Order: sequence, then structure tokens, then C-alpha cells
Amino acid sequence: MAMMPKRVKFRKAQRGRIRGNATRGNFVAFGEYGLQTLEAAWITGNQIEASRVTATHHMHREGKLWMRMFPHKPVSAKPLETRMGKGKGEPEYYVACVRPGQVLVEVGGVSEETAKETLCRVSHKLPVKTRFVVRRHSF
Amino acid sequence: MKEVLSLATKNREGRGTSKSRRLRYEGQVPGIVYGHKQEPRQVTVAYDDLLGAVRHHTRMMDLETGGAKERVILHDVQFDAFGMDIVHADFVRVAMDELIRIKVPVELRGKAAGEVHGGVAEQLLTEVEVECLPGDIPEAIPFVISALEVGQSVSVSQLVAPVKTRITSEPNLIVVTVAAPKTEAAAVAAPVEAVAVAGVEPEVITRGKAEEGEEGEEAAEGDKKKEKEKKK
Repeated sequence: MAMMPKRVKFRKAQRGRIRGNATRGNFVAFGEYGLQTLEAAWITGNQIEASRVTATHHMHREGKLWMRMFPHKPVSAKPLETRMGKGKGEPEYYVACVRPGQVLVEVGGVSEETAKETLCRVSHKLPVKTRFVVRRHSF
Repeated sequence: MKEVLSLATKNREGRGTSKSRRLRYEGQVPGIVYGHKQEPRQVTVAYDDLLGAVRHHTRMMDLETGGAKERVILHDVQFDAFGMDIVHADFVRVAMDELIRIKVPVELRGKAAGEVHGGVAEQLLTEVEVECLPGDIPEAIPFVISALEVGQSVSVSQLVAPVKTRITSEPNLIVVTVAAPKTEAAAVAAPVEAVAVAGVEPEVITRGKAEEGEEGEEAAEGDKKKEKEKKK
């Protein structure tokens, strides 16, 4: 099932533009290891769900998983073989707008090796280049 | 006492984004030294030296500026958006006979007994604040979790502070807990729920619209009355 918000204020949204790097959510905050995006992109609810499924499957119900992105933005589309005009299309799916540097997924309670394998599989489900990051302790 | 790293620094004249950026291009990191009721001093540090100190988790260091030495603690390090390059560093002046408060990581050792039965050890608190002399800062606070069963947890009060240190974090905070394993029923129920909800659009919050609509209707009725009066 594709992820989507439960309630929205407006059914449709404009496309907008993703500018700059992530200034929030750009470090591992919950688990021990994370997957950080190196590109800006729209990540669909289906892609997020697919990455969650592959991660839980590979971790064999060990450890804990945190999905740190959520598809808030509706994307509308027109039906096939429809003439142009007649207003904006209906919401088709929802996406999460991510900026370079954002941590997308975090895992904890597993070894580094397992975390690397899991997050490698997750990265294959996502439309962005990613890198593996480890929690940094404060000073 | 632990070995203290010496770090060569230079006093920094310029301030602001562009000057700091220029320094970074030259392999320097802008930083600031403050504390002990003295005037803050802007400095630059060689990037490689600082990176080495950060990688080795060095806390205490001597800043050498033109022959003068100053004992400081690396208080904060700012990284870029990717967490790769150091952008800025904060140093706090310390006296060796003065107690300081500093955050120290909690290191879990062993495997919880509950993990054997399918439980998951969740570390909720990775760092605790300790009070100690600058020379006694522990690298980490270890805790052996091998006796923890499913449902049990460890709070800050159960941690053993290293010699000459005192833990000052809230004693009731949970450090680690062993969560119960996920049940088979929950795993099976999830897809059924997913099918039921699929294809449903999110609910639109219409409170604002409804109010507007009522106002609009009232306004429309008012216009109609006016038109009727005009006709008369």
C-alpha cells in the first residue's frame, strides 16, 4: 500500500522546486546507522513502502527501523487519452521531497555488517544516490 | 592524566561568511575560544589537525597561539549538510582544578538475555552528562546488558559512574530497554489493513472552507434581497 497522509488541508499542490541542502534531519538521530541521500528528489509512497518492506525482511525482525521521510506532497496526473485542459488532474500519488544530506532510513540494534547489507538493499529501492552513515557522538 | 593534544592556532581578523569560506578554501577552520569570563577570541585551526582530534575523540587540548598556551575543551563542532567537512569549532577555556559538565557516550556491552528470545535491545539514550575534572573525563560509560530480559530496562541511576566522576543526567531517564518480539498476528494483520485502505484519498480538512461557505451564502442572500428591493 502506498503511503499517504491521513488528513490534508488541500487536495492538490503545486510542484515547487527543491533547492539547497538539508539543514535539518541530516544526521543519524535515532538508530546507530543511516542512509543519507546525496541528491534532491521526489520519493514516492510506493518507493518508501518498498524500501521499508525490504529492510524489515532482511533484518529478520531483529533490530529497529526508522523511516525518516514521509510523502506529504500530492502529485496529480491526467487520465490517459484525455484532451488537455479542463483543469488540473486528480491526485495520483504522494511524494516526499528530500534534499541532499537528508537521512532517509535509520537502523539500530543490529551489527554494522547487517546494517550495511540492509541499507544497501534499501538504496536499490530509492531513486537517489545514497551513502551509509554512522551516528556521530557529540562533543 | 591523559595526554593533551597541542593544536596550533592563529588569531582571526575577519568575520562573516565570505571570509570564513576563504579560510576553508585555504585548509583552515574558523573557530572561537570562550569561557572563564574572558573576552571571546576568534581563531583558525588547520583542518587536518582538527579532523584528527575529532576522529580520535580528543576532548582536551592546548591551543598554541604565538607562543601562548591555553587549555581548552572541544565543546562543539559544526559539520556541513552531509556531516563530512568541519565548518566551525567551539573551544571552551578550562582550569584543571575546576569541575566541568560534559556529555559522555554510553557503551553497551554484551548481548541481552532477552535478545535470545527474540527481543530487541533499544538504546534510547546514547549520551549522559557527567561532572568531573577536565583531567578525568571518561571516554565512555560502559554497561553490561547481558542480564536484561524482555521488558526490562536500565535507567541512568543504574549506570556506574567511573572514578572521580558524577553522573548529572536525570536519574529516571531510560538508557536501554529490551522490547518484546513482534507477534506473528501483527505481521499478518498489516497487509489486510493495507488492502482495505488502498485507493482511499486522505480526508480534506474543510473547517475553514465550511465557514467561508456559510459566509458566502449569507452574502449571496444579502445580494438577492438588494436586487429585489431595486426591482420594487
